[in-house]
Amino acid sequence: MYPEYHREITEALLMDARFLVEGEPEFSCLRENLDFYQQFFEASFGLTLLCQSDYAFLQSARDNDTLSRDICIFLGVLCYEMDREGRNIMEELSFSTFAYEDVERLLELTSFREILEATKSLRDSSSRRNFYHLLARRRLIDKVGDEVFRFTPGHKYFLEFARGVAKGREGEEEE
Amino acid sequence: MILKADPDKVLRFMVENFELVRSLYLAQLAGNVISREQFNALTKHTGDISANRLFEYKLLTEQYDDIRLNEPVRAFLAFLISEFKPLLPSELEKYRTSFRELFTAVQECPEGEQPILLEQLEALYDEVQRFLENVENNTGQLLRETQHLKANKDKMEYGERIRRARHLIEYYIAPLNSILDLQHSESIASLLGELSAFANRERLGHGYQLARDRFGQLHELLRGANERILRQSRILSRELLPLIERLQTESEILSGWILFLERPFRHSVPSFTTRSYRNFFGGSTDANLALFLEQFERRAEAVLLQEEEITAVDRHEVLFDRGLYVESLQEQLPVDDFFGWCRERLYQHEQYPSTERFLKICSIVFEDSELYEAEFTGRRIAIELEDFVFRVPEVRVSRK
Repeated sequence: MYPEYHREITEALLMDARFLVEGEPEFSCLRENLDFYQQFFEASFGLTLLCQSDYAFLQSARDNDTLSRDICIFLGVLCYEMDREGRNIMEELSFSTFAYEDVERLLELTSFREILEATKSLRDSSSRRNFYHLLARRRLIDKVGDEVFRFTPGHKYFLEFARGVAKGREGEEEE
Repeated sequence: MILKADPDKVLRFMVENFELVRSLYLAQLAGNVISREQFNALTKHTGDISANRLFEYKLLTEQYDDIRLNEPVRAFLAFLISEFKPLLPSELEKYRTSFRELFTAVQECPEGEQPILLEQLEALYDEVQRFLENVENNTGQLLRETQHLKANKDKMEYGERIRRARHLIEYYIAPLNSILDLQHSESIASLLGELSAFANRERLGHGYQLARDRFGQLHELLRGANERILRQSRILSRELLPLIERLQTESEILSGWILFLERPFRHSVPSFTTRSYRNFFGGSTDANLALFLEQFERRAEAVLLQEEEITAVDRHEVLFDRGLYVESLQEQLPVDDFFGWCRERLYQHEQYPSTERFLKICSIVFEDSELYEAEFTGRRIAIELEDFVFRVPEVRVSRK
């Protein structure tokens, strides 16, 4: 009566609070039963299921989420620094792997250091190590060995947010 | 007409001074004209004779104070160096008028006026050829410019890049796409289709042999043209537009992040997902449930115990003499059945033997665990006390 991966889907989205991404059998199952799951999460938990062509997650009702802010700061600084080096941001985020060492170098030298220092989870390289673990648990990145990671399609959610900011769609300020 | 030299001599002159000619071409490409100062700077190391020959051979012409390459020379160099300014689509639009006029003239050419018909067909052929070359050059140049912009070789600021990208889309790529759109009835490409159908009929049906040949040639060219246009239009829609759109998206993302990073702690953030700590089922659900229910059983008994305690008025009876039991245990070690021993002592020494007392006696071993050694036999024995039955393990206690 329930879809094949019902338990895995519920655990991943609800208990692990992570992205389901294209390539996972759970993701295809979710998309095939999208109407059911949208109703299911809405009726049972009052949560909105956000499902795009290559990623999905449960949107929390909280609008001031520390993790979300930390991710925005991290990605914002990373994109800025990549552009400064003349790299193709979208292409690399979608298809390339990143060495932690390389990312650390960019973050250490950035002119946005002050912002990083004011952010608890991005303050120094040991805090950032925990942060990377957290990103992997939330499936925003996939670890490829000990030294390298790659972004999952989930990162596009945050890039869309940035686009919205540029177009003035996103709220300017909150107190 | 070049009066002062034969054509091959002019060509040789160009070969010998090709670097100079190339820099003149690039200067004109950048600034539309070559200023007198630029010209002087470029010819600083060139002898006067050569500098003058540039004019004598009509490679250069003077326009008031400025200098320009003669148009056929410029086109030739553009072809050689293969670097141009892309044509504005309105420059390509002019072909629509010339095609339309020549087409009408050919259609309306009266019978018996063969010579003019042949000339018109020839002109039409040349015009189509020029149009195709221009379109191909244009797409090629736009592709190079877009890739250049994408790779950001000039290390341009994102704002400048997006401005350039928008400019290319708005003024070059989108209009060029509509010129080449075969689906659109107003596009030049569909006009060429119409022309091709007409040529196809006439190459078989026209009454005059030479005209049939010309129509045949034109038809051949137009058939190829269709493919060439398709190829260009495919480059536009497959490579250029997505490339440049991505560039634009990327710039938007970047400017979004920069706006966000200006006030990172006050700006709103997208609502993400949070972990839910509601555990519904798990491997230990039944054990947890049993534990939970056990609490209630005990609580009922505890009330009973308290009542008994309250009835005790003699404080000496209530106080637990721990030393007494410790001494007694020390004397009798080793004890084979510790809990049994505890029960015995309880009835021996206590006026009101209660569960609470029993547990207190039992605890003396555990409180001083460093003094005793306990050995579990693995069996369980039942000890009855008041209304309880304790199922306790059989323990042998000895001195360490």
